[in-house]
Amino acid sequence: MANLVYIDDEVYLTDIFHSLFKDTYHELHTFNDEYEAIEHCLSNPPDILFVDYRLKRMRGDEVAQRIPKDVHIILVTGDVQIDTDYKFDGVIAKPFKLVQLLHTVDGFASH
Amino acid sequence: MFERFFNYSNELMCIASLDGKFLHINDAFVDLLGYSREQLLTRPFLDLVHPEDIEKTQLEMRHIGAGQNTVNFENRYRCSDGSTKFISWKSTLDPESNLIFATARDITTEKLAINQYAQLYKMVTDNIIYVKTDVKGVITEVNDMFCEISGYDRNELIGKTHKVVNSGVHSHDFFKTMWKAIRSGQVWKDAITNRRKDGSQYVVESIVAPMLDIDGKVEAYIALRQDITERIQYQQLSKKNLDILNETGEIAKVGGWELEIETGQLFWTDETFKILDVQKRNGAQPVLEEGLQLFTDEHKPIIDKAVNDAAQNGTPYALELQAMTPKGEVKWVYTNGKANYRDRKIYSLSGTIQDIHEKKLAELRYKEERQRSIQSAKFAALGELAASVAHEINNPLGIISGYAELIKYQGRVDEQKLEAIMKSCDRIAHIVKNLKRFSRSDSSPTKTKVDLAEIVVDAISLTQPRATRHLADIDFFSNREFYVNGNHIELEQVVINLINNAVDAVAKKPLKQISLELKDTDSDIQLRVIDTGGGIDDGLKIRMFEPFVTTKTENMGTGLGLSVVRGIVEDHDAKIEVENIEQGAEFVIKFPKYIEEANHG
Repeated sequence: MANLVYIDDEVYLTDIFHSLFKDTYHELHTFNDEYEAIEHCLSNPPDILFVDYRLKRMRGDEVAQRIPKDVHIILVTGDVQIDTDYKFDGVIAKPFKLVQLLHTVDGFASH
Repeated sequence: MFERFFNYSNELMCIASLDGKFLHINDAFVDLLGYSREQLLTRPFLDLVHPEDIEKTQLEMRHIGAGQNTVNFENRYRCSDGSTKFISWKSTLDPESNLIFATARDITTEKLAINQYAQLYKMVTDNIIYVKTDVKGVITEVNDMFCEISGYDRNELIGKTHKVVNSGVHSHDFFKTMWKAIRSGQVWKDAITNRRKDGSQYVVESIVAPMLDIDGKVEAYIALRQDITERIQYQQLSKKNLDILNETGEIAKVGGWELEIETGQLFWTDETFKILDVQKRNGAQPVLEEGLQLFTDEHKPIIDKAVNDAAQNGTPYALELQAMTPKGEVKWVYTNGKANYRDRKIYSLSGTIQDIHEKKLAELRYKEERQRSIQSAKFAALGELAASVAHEINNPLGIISGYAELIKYQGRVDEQKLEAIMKSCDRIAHIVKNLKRFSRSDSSPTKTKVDLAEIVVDAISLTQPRATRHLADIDFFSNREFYVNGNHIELEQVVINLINNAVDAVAKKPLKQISLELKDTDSDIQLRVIDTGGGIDDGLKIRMFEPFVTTKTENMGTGLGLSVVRGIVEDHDAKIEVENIEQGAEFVIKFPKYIEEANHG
């Protein structure tokens, strides 16, 4: 079982995450607002953080820098070119395949 | 006895009366005049004297009557055959009989010779520079013309040698040769540069001939001279002009030519020979037909027509053509020509020829480069656009495909339709990803290990919409990789170009099939683009990879596509060829195989 957080300003996308993980034994929290998400992650560090690149006020790499170091951070983005020095633990391109998400989580959980 | 002697004599003899009649006349005299003896003895001899000489003859007779002897008196007699004879007289009045005793000589031949000599002498000395010297070369006689040209008075020349006019231009040997010739009795001829009194020089064409005495010994020399200073100067000037023309022509790489219409004879300057790489034959100039052979088969009709038009109608021309040198080298030249008239008739054409090969190549390269950069700028703009909108497209795409997948897992609806939705999402995502790649077009594209199969798939995804609009099928299947060393974007442009050309070719044909094939042979990797567009004209096949060669109407194509393709292909050490096959054309690009070795990392 893994603790998951997904931050995206697209409500439908966070909804898809919910629908996907609700019947699994993983625990998922999603946020459409990055500040709420950062607060949550600081008090309850997840195992994996999925984060969008273009959020309402911040970029995904800026969010990632505020998250405790031991959190595994995966960028989920529709951009085809990202200009950042931040090293994400993984990148998933939108539009993503659900099975891709499941594999990522299962792969981490089986560590 | 004296009578007989009188008649046998070859001398002319007669006895005449003071009143003007012959009393006795010898046979020689009768024979000379041709009249009968009777006629001569009955008529007054003044009737036979040339009318112009009657007066002086009468005067001379009065002198004789007065007792004066006549020595070498000359007059002319008219003979029975109409001819005139010069006669020289020696006469005495015999006091006893009061008769004239005369002997005479026919001097006609001498007279005529002297007369001719006098005329010749006058003609020569009036018109030609004339000098006579003694055997030592001391001047004994000069005419006015020699004084005039040398600037010396007659008395400054007589008694001197030709050292007076020596210019110092000629060597000692030059004069030695002359003296050797004329001393041995030969005539010597050459051009001599002499010096005037004022120091300036003049050039004379000189003939020096020895005059021989009766024994055949040289007794004097005569020199006849013609002033050729102007001619020499003109020759030097025109040679100088030609030299300058050749020199400037060489620097400017411009040659001159002239064509004589009637004979077809061409005159070329040195540079023209050089530009066309034709060996200059000694003295011989080429003829028109040879000149026209020096153009490529394609351009020969153009120059043919231009020259004909100029020769017949006087139409001037200026053309950029491909010349073909005798060594088979193709070279761009600019040539122009115009008609020259004489008495309102075209008698020649003249013009220039210029080597513009480098310039033309640079121009073509520049245009090609520009076209390439325009194309890549277009692609770059497209790439930028794609990058900036990718986020906007991919987010909603993620929502569509995400929900479709969720619905599929929930298993409550038609799975096939959901598959269709998801596949469509994949296609959109693929195109967006491809477009974006163009935004990274570097100024010098780097080559890496690339998969041609992937490139073909990408190119098809970008050209498919246009092909579909023209109802053309693009067919490609591959289940493996074909690696070459190359630049993904550039090679993709090549494939896109070939597919787009194929689409144009099949657009108006009933069968609109475009197939792409990849093949791994022992020596290379081959990419084939095959269409059913009817094929390509043989004439066009050779030129189709040149810039600005197009069969498309204006606004349809620039004619640069295939030249850019060739440029990229050659940059990849690959070769492109085209063949006509059953229903259309087959383009083959042969790439060297990708070599996996140490120096590739």
